[in-house]
Amino acid sequence: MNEETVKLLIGPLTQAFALLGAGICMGFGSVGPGAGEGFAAGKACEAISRRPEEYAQIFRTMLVGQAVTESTAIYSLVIALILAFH
Amino acid sequence: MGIANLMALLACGLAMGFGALGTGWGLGFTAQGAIRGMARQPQINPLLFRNMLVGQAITETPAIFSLVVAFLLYFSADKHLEAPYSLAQTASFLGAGLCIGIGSIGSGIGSGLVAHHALTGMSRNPSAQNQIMLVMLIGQAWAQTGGIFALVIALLLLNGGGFAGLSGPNDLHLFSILPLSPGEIVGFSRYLGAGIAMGFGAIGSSIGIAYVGGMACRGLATAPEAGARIKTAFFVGSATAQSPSIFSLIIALILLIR
Repeated sequence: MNEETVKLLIGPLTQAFALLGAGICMGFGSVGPGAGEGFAAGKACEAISRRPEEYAQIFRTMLVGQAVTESTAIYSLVIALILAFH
Repeated sequence: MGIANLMALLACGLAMGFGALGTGWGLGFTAQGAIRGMARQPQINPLLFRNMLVGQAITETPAIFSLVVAFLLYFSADKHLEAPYSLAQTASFLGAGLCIGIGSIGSGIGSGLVAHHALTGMSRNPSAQNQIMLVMLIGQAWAQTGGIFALVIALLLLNGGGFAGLSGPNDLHLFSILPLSPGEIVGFSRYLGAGIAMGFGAIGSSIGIAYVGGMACRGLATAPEAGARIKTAFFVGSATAQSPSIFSLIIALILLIR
Protein backbone atom coordinates (compact mmCIF):
# COMPACT_ATOMS: atom_id res chain seq x y z
CA MET A 1 0.00 0.00 0.00
CA ASN A 2 1.31 3.44 -0.78
CA GLU A 3 1.35 6.31 1.67
CA GLU A 4 -1.80 7.91 0.30
CA THR A 5 -3.82 4.72 0.82
CA VAL A 6 -2.63 4.42 4.40
CA LYS A 7 -3.62 8.03 5.10
CA LEU A 8 -7.09 7.40 3.67
CA LEU A 9 -7.65 4.21 5.66
CA ILE A 10 -6.13 4.98 9.05
CA GLY A 11 -9.10 7.02 10.33
CA PRO A 12 -11.85 4.53 9.43
CA LEU A 13 -9.71 1.62 10.56
CA THR A 14 -9.18 3.23 13.98
CA GLN A 15 -12.91 3.77 14.36
CA ALA A 16 -13.68 0.28 13.11
CA PHE A 17 -11.36 -1.42 15.58
CA ALA A 18 -12.67 0.75 18.43
CA LEU A 19 -16.28 -0.22 17.62
CA LEU A 20 -15.45 -3.92 17.38
CA GLY A 21 -13.53 -3.63 20.64
CA ALA A 22 -16.53 -1.98 22.29
CA GLY A 23 -18.78 -4.85 21.24
CA ILE A 24 -16.38 -7.54 22.45
CA CYS A 25 -15.72 -5.64 25.69
CA MET A 26 -19.40 -5.37 26.67
CA GLY A 27 -20.33 -8.81 25.34
CA PHE A 28 -17.78 -10.81 27.30
CA GLY A 29 -17.71 -8.34 30.19
CA SER A 30 -21.32 -8.98 31.10
CA VAL A 31 -21.12 -12.79 31.19
CA GLY A 32 -19.38 -12.95 34.55
CA PRO A 33 -21.30 -10.29 36.50
CA GLY A 34 -24.67 -11.59 35.28
CA ALA A 35 -24.00 -15.15 36.36
CA GLY A 36 -22.22 -14.06 39.55
CA GLU A 37 -25.02 -11.81 40.76
CA GLY A 38 -27.47 -14.60 40.06
CA PHE A 39 -25.46 -17.07 42.15
CA ALA A 40 -25.39 -14.61 45.04
CA ALA A 41 -29.14 -14.02 44.92
CA GLY A 42 -29.89 -17.72 44.41
CA LYS A 43 -27.99 -18.71 47.52
CA ALA A 44 -29.72 -15.86 49.38
CA CYS A 45 -33.13 -17.36 48.48
CA GLU A 46 -31.96 -20.74 49.73
CA ALA A 47 -30.56 -19.25 52.93
CA ILE A 48 -33.80 -17.35 53.66
CA SER A 49 -35.75 -20.60 53.34
CA ARG A 50 -33.41 -22.27 55.86
CA ARG A 51 -33.44 -19.38 58.37
CA PRO A 52 -36.35 -17.01 57.61
CA GLU A 53 -35.67 -15.07 60.84
CA GLU A 54 -32.25 -13.93 59.53
CA TYR A 55 -33.94 -12.37 56.49
CA ALA A 56 -32.73 -8.79 57.02
CA GLN A 57 -29.09 -9.74 57.37
CA ILE A 58 -29.12 -12.15 54.40
CA PHE A 59 -30.87 -9.62 52.19
CA ARG A 60 -28.41 -6.86 53.09
CA THR A 61 -25.41 -9.08 52.43
CA MET A 62 -26.92 -10.15 49.11
CA LEU A 63 -27.38 -6.55 48.01
CA VAL A 64 -23.85 -5.50 49.02
CA GLY A 65 -22.35 -8.56 47.31
CA GLN A 66 -24.32 -7.88 44.16
CA ALA A 67 -23.31 -4.22 44.14
CA VAL A 68 -19.64 -5.19 44.30
CA THR A 69 -20.16 -7.80 41.55
CA GLU A 70 -21.92 -5.19 39.44
CA SER A 71 -18.80 -3.02 39.44
CA THR A 72 -17.06 -5.22 36.85
CA ALA A 73 -20.03 -4.85 34.48
CA ILE A 74 -19.84 -1.09 34.96
CA TYR A 75 -16.10 -1.10 34.16
CA SER A 76 -16.97 -2.90 30.91
CA LEU A 77 -19.75 -0.42 30.19
CA VAL A 78 -17.47 2.58 30.76
CA ILE A 79 -14.73 1.18 28.51
CA ALA A 80 -17.26 0.19 25.85
CA LEU A 81 -18.78 3.69 25.86
CA ILE A 82 -15.32 5.29 25.63
CA LEU A 83 -14.49 3.04 22.68
CA ALA A 84 -17.87 3.52 20.97
CA PHE A 85 -17.53 7.30 21.05
CA HIS A 86 -13.81 7.27 20.27
CA MET B 1 -24.29 -14.31 -5.63
CA GLY B 2 -21.67 -12.46 -3.61
CA ILE B 3 -19.76 -12.90 -0.41
CA ALA B 4 -22.74 -11.57 1.59
CA ASN B 5 -24.93 -14.40 0.27
CA LEU B 6 -22.30 -16.95 1.24
CA MET B 7 -21.98 -15.43 4.70
CA ALA B 8 -25.77 -15.73 5.14
CA LEU B 9 -25.44 -19.50 4.73
CA LEU B 10 -22.63 -19.69 7.30
CA ALA B 11 -24.60 -17.48 9.71
CA CYS B 12 -27.68 -19.69 9.24
CA GLY B 13 -25.69 -22.68 10.46
CA LEU B 14 -24.15 -20.71 13.35
CA ALA B 15 -27.57 -19.45 14.48
CA MET B 16 -29.24 -22.85 14.64
CA GLY B 17 -26.17 -24.75 15.87
CA PHE B 18 -25.48 -22.53 18.86
CA GLY B 19 -29.20 -22.00 19.41
CA ALA B 20 -29.79 -25.72 19.77
CA LEU B 21 -26.84 -26.14 22.15
CA GLY B 22 -28.27 -24.37 25.18
CA THR B 23 -31.90 -25.28 24.61
CA GLY B 24 -31.17 -28.98 24.27
CA TRP B 25 -29.18 -28.86 27.47
CA GLY B 26 -32.03 -27.09 29.26
CA LEU B 27 -34.71 -29.47 27.97
CA GLY B 28 -32.75 -32.47 29.19
CA PHE B 29 -32.16 -30.78 32.53
CA THR B 30 -35.92 -30.29 32.93
CA ALA B 31 -36.60 -33.94 32.20
CA GLN B 32 -33.89 -34.92 34.68
CA GLY B 33 -35.66 -32.96 37.42
CA ALA B 34 -38.99 -34.66 36.62
CA ILE B 35 -37.46 -38.13 36.58
CA ARG B 36 -35.63 -37.67 39.87
CA GLY B 37 -38.81 -36.28 41.39
CA MET B 38 -40.80 -39.32 40.23
CA ALA B 39 -38.26 -41.63 41.84
CA ARG B 40 -38.67 -39.70 45.10
CA GLN B 41 -42.48 -39.35 45.09
CA PRO B 42 -44.10 -41.83 42.66
CA GLN B 43 -47.62 -40.84 43.78
CA ILE B 44 -47.38 -37.31 42.23
CA ASN B 45 -46.29 -38.72 38.88
CA PRO B 46 -49.02 -36.98 36.77
CA LEU B 47 -48.32 -33.58 38.37
CA LEU B 48 -44.60 -33.82 37.65
CA PHE B 49 -45.25 -35.01 34.09
CA ARG B 50 -47.61 -32.13 33.38
CA ASN B 51 -45.26 -29.53 34.83
CA MET B 52 -42.31 -31.04 32.97
CA LEU B 53 -44.18 -30.49 29.69
CA VAL B 54 -45.05 -26.89 30.65
CA GLY B 55 -41.44 -26.20 31.62
CA GLN B 56 -40.10 -27.77 28.45
CA ALA B 57 -42.52 -25.81 26.26
CA ILE B 58 -41.17 -22.53 27.69
CA THR B 59 -37.56 -23.76 27.52
CA GLU B 60 -38.09 -24.48 23.83
CA THR B 61 -38.62 -20.82 22.84
CA PRO B 62 -34.94 -19.75 22.36
CA ALA B 63 -34.51 -22.62 19.87
CA ILE B 64 -37.60 -21.43 18.00
CA PHE B 65 -36.19 -17.88 17.85
CA SER B 66 -32.96 -19.35 16.44
CA LEU B 67 -34.91 -21.41 13.93
CA VAL B 68 -36.81 -18.34 12.70
CA VAL B 69 -33.62 -16.29 12.27
CA ALA B 70 -31.87 -19.26 10.63
CA PHE B 71 -34.68 -19.49 8.07
CA LEU B 72 -34.58 -15.74 7.43
CA LEU B 73 -30.81 -16.00 6.87
CA TYR B 74 -31.27 -19.03 4.62
CA PHE B 75 -33.71 -17.13 2.42
CA SER B 76 -31.35 -14.12 2.39
CA ALA B 77 -28.74 -16.34 0.76
CA ASP B 78 -30.86 -16.57 -2.41
CA LYS B 79 -32.01 -12.96 -2.28
CA HIS B 80 -30.82 -10.50 -4.87
CA LEU B 81 -28.81 -8.06 -2.73
CA GLU B 82 -28.12 -4.50 -3.74
CA ALA B 83 -24.42 -4.81 -2.86
CA PRO B 84 -23.51 -8.49 -2.68
CA TYR B 85 -19.83 -7.74 -2.11
CA SER B 86 -20.44 -5.21 0.66
CA LEU B 87 -18.41 -5.88 3.81
CA ALA B 88 -21.09 -4.16 5.92
CA GLN B 89 -23.82 -6.40 4.51
CA THR B 90 -21.64 -9.46 5.14
CA ALA B 91 -21.05 -8.42 8.74
CA SER B 92 -24.74 -7.78 9.35
CA PHE B 93 -25.57 -11.38 8.39
CA LEU B 94 -22.71 -12.82 10.46
CA GLY B 95 -23.64 -10.55 13.38
CA ALA B 96 -27.32 -11.61 13.27
CA GLY B 97 -26.40 -15.31 13.24
CA LEU B 98 -23.90 -14.99 16.09
CA CYS B 99 -26.23 -12.77 18.10
CA ILE B 100 -29.26 -15.08 18.13
CA GLY B 101 -27.18 -18.27 18.26
CA ILE B 102 -25.00 -17.36 21.23
CA GLY B 103 -27.77 -15.31 22.86
CA SER B 104 -29.96 -18.42 23.00
CA ILE B 105 -27.41 -20.46 24.98
CA GLY B 106 -28.03 -18.66 28.26
CA SER B 107 -31.83 -18.53 27.92
CA GLY B 108 -32.06 -22.21 27.01
CA ILE B 109 -29.87 -23.46 29.86
CA GLY B 110 -31.46 -20.94 32.24
CA SER B 111 -35.10 -21.86 31.58
CA GLY B 112 -34.22 -25.51 31.99
CA LEU B 113 -32.43 -24.78 35.26
CA VAL B 114 -35.53 -23.07 36.72
CA ALA B 115 -37.81 -25.93 35.67
CA HIS B 116 -35.35 -28.52 37.05
CA HIS B 117 -35.26 -26.93 40.49
CA ALA B 118 -39.02 -26.31 40.46
CA LEU B 119 -39.75 -29.98 39.72
CA THR B 120 -37.26 -31.05 42.40
CA GLY B 121 -38.97 -28.73 44.86
CA MET B 122 -42.46 -30.03 43.97
CA SER B 123 -41.34 -33.59 44.58
CA ARG B 124 -39.91 -32.60 47.98
CA ASN B 125 -43.00 -30.69 49.09
CA PRO B 126 -46.07 -31.29 46.87
CA SER B 127 -48.28 -29.12 49.12
CA ALA B 128 -46.39 -25.97 47.98
CA GLN B 129 -46.91 -26.75 44.29
CA ASN B 130 -49.01 -23.68 43.45
CA GLN B 131 -46.47 -21.23 44.87
CA ILE B 132 -43.59 -23.11 43.19
CA MET B 133 -45.41 -23.16 39.85
CA LEU B 134 -45.93 -19.39 39.96
CA VAL B 135 -42.26 -18.69 40.72
CA MET B 136 -41.19 -21.22 38.06
CA LEU B 137 -43.24 -19.46 35.36
CA ILE B 138 -41.99 -15.99 36.37
CA GLY B 139 -38.39 -17.22 36.61
CA GLN B 140 -38.53 -18.91 33.20
CA ALA B 141 -40.06 -15.87 31.55
CA TRP B 142 -37.44 -13.66 33.16
CA ALA B 143 -34.60 -15.94 32.08
CA GLN B 144 -36.00 -15.62 28.54
CA THR B 145 -35.29 -11.85 28.37
CA GLY B 146 -31.69 -12.29 27.23
CA GLY B 147 -32.84 -14.36 24.28
CA ILE B 148 -35.51 -11.80 23.41
CA PHE B 149 -32.95 -8.95 23.48
CA ALA B 150 -30.77 -11.04 21.15
CA LEU B 151 -33.75 -11.64 18.84
CA VAL B 152 -34.45 -7.90 18.66
CA ILE B 153 -30.84 -7.09 17.76
CA ALA B 154 -30.68 -9.96 15.24
CA LEU B 155 -33.84 -8.76 13.48
CA LEU B 156 -32.55 -5.17 13.44
CA LEU B 157 -29.30 -6.44 11.91
CA LEU B 158 -31.21 -8.46 9.31
CA ASN B 159 -33.61 -5.72 8.29
CA GLY B 160 -31.96 -2.38 8.93
CA GLY B 161 -28.41 -3.59 9.03
CA GLY B 162 -27.84 -3.97 5.35
CA PHE B 163 -27.05 -0.38 4.53
CA ALA B 164 -26.05 -1.33 1.05
CA GLY B 165 -24.39 1.16 -1.19
CA LEU B 166 -21.91 2.37 1.39
CA SER B 167 -19.15 1.85 -1.13
CA GLY B 168 -18.29 4.95 -3.08
CA PRO B 169 -16.39 5.86 -6.22
CA ASN B 170 -12.99 6.09 -4.51
CA ASP B 171 -13.12 2.49 -3.29
CA LEU B 172 -9.96 0.52 -2.84
CA HIS B 173 -10.57 -2.94 -4.14
CA LEU B 174 -9.16 -5.74 -2.04
CA PHE B 175 -8.55 -8.94 -4.01
CA SER B 176 -10.11 -7.01 -6.89
CA ILE B 177 -13.72 -7.66 -5.71
CA LEU B 178 -14.16 -6.47 -2.12
CA PRO B 179 -14.88 -2.74 -1.98
CA LEU B 180 -12.95 -1.24 0.93
CA SER B 181 -14.37 2.24 1.37
CA PRO B 182 -14.22 3.94 4.80
CA GLY B 183 -17.97 3.44 5.30
CA GLU B 184 -17.66 -0.26 4.56
CA ILE B 185 -14.85 -0.73 7.08
CA VAL B 186 -16.72 1.06 9.87
CA GLY B 187 -19.99 -0.67 8.96
CA PHE B 188 -18.34 -4.08 9.14
CA SER B 189 -17.14 -3.72 12.70
CA ARG B 190 -20.27 -1.86 13.76
CA TYR B 191 -22.59 -4.72 12.81
CA LEU B 192 -20.27 -7.50 13.94
CA GLY B 193 -19.63 -5.66 17.21
CA ALA B 194 -23.35 -5.23 17.90
CA GLY B 195 -23.95 -8.95 17.31
CA ILE B 196 -21.09 -10.02 19.58
CA ALA B 197 -22.03 -7.55 22.34
CA MET B 198 -25.65 -8.71 22.58
CA GLY B 199 -24.98 -12.39 21.86
CA PHE B 200 -22.41 -12.95 24.59
CA GLY B 201 -23.99 -10.36 26.86
CA ALA B 202 -27.20 -12.38 27.10
CA ILE B 203 -25.51 -15.56 28.43
CA GLY B 204 -24.49 -14.49 31.92
CA SER B 205 -27.62 -12.64 32.96
CA SER B 206 -29.97 -15.38 31.79
CA ILE B 207 -28.08 -18.07 33.69
CA GLY B 208 -27.85 -15.83 36.76
CA ILE B 209 -31.57 -15.01 36.81
CA ALA B 210 -32.38 -18.66 36.26
CA TYR B 211 -30.25 -19.68 39.22
CA VAL B 212 -32.14 -17.20 41.42
CA GLY B 213 -35.49 -18.54 40.18
CA GLY B 214 -34.42 -22.15 40.70
CA MET B 215 -33.16 -21.55 44.21
CA ALA B 216 -36.36 -19.59 45.03
CA CYS B 217 -38.40 -22.64 43.93
CA ARG B 218 -36.35 -24.92 46.17
CA GLY B 219 -36.59 -22.45 49.02
CA LEU B 220 -40.39 -22.37 48.70
CA ALA B 221 -40.38 -26.16 48.98
CA THR B 222 -38.23 -26.02 52.13
CA ALA B 223 -40.12 -23.18 53.84
CA PRO B 224 -43.45 -22.27 52.19
CA GLU B 225 -44.29 -20.05 55.18
CA ALA B 226 -41.34 -17.73 54.28
CA GLY B 227 -42.76 -17.35 50.75
CA ALA B 228 -43.11 -13.56 50.79
CA ARG B 229 -39.51 -13.02 51.92
CA ILE B 230 -38.13 -15.52 49.39
CA LYS B 231 -40.11 -13.85 46.59
CA THR B 232 -38.79 -10.40 47.57
CA ALA B 233 -35.20 -11.69 47.44
CA PHE B 234 -36.02 -13.38 44.10
CA PHE B 235 -37.39 -10.21 42.51
CA VAL B 236 -34.66 -7.87 43.78
CA GLY B 237 -31.87 -10.37 43.06
CA SER B 238 -33.11 -11.08 39.52
CA ALA B 239 -33.54 -7.40 38.73
CA THR B 240 -29.93 -6.75 39.72
CA ALA B 241 -28.67 -9.76 37.77
CA GLN B 242 -30.54 -8.41 34.73
CA SER B 243 -28.52 -5.19 34.53
CA PRO B 244 -25.43 -6.54 32.66
CA SER B 245 -27.62 -7.73 29.78
CA ILE B 246 -29.27 -4.30 29.62
CA PHE B 247 -25.81 -2.69 29.43
CA SER B 248 -25.09 -5.03 26.51
CA LEU B 249 -28.35 -4.07 24.83
CA ILE B 250 -27.49 -0.37 25.19
CA ILE B 251 -24.01 -0.86 23.70
CA ALA B 252 -25.42 -2.96 20.84
CA LEU B 253 -28.01 -0.28 20.05
CA ILE B 254 -25.37 2.47 20.21
CA LEU B 255 -23.17 0.49 17.81
CA LEU B 256 -26.12 -0.09 15.47
CA ILE B 257 -27.69 3.33 15.43
CA ARG B 258 -24.84 5.76 15.99
